[in-house]
Amino acid sequence: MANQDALSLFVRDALVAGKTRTEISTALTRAGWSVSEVHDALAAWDETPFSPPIPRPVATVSARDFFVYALTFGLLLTGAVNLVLVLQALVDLAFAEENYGTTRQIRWGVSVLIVMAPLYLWLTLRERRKLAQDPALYRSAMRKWLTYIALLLAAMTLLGDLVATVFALLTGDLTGQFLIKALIIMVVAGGIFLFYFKDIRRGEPQ
Amino acid sequence: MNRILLIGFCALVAAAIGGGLWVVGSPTHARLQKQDADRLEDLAGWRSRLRCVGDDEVLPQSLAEVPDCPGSTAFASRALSTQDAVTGAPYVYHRLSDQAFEVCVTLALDPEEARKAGFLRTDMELRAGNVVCLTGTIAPKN
Repeated sequence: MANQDALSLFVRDALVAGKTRTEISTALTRAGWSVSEVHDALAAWDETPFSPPIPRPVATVSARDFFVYALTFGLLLTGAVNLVLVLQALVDLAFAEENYGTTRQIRWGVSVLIVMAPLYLWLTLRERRKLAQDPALYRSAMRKWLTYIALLLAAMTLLGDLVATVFALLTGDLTGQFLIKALIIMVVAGGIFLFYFKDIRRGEPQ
Repeated sequence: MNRILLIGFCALVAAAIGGGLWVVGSPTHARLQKQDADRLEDLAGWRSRLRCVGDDEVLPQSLAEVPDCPGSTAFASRALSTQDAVTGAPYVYHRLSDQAFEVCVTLALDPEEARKAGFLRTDMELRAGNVVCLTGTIAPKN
């Protein structure tokens, strides 16, 4: 970390001294810094000719962000799993003669949704309002990381769902019941993926 | 687009909650289901206890006189009430002969619900007015 600070300070001093980016890059590479380290160090300063050099905005990390976003994504994950379980249980009831264990599953899932869905909605709308008021919040590292984790989980769920559907097709188990249940997973995971994909792109630098 | 997705998700969650509650019924209904499950468990317990009476003996005149079944399965030897825990009505016990018997309970809900929920065993007989009975004979002693 101290090395990175020294590197950043050197780049700043070199820019103040009027050195070009190519000169700075050559000097640093000759001194043993890797290409990516040099690139990152130079990218931290805006290319507008101005003295002193203008620092670019950097990702922020705060305990408040961790709490809000971890809670929001925890609610999203739990809520999505239980939403799928309730909808699939309802499909099972529509097809099956018996409902052994299914009603208990529905009661538990509905309980989770009643508590978590409004809380998730409130937190999401609240964050959206804050982001609209202060776009600097888009630089929250926590928000970015947790959004990408949500995207990863949604993408893996979608792929797993597709694999299971193809497997069921090949093994001759592709019933209407199975297809509807697979469709439920696809709608929920696909919806979450689209929602956060558009969301993260809005915060990316153009 | 995101607004549409959010509204769509809200609608899906509302449909899951509404559909779920509509299917499983009210809390009162759930309580009645649980009470019926307890009644059917008692019924099966009484049959196990009665079967415990050896074939060199005769069946007792009432459930209160049925002896304990020591050394038997936990199910047959557990404490059993002779009456319905909720209504207080005694469980119906009929001696069909010295060796054959039937025990009956009256469920609060349609026995079809208990069957769907898996509480109603296949050997339980449905009678008129939500009455469910189990018949049996005393087990031979080895």
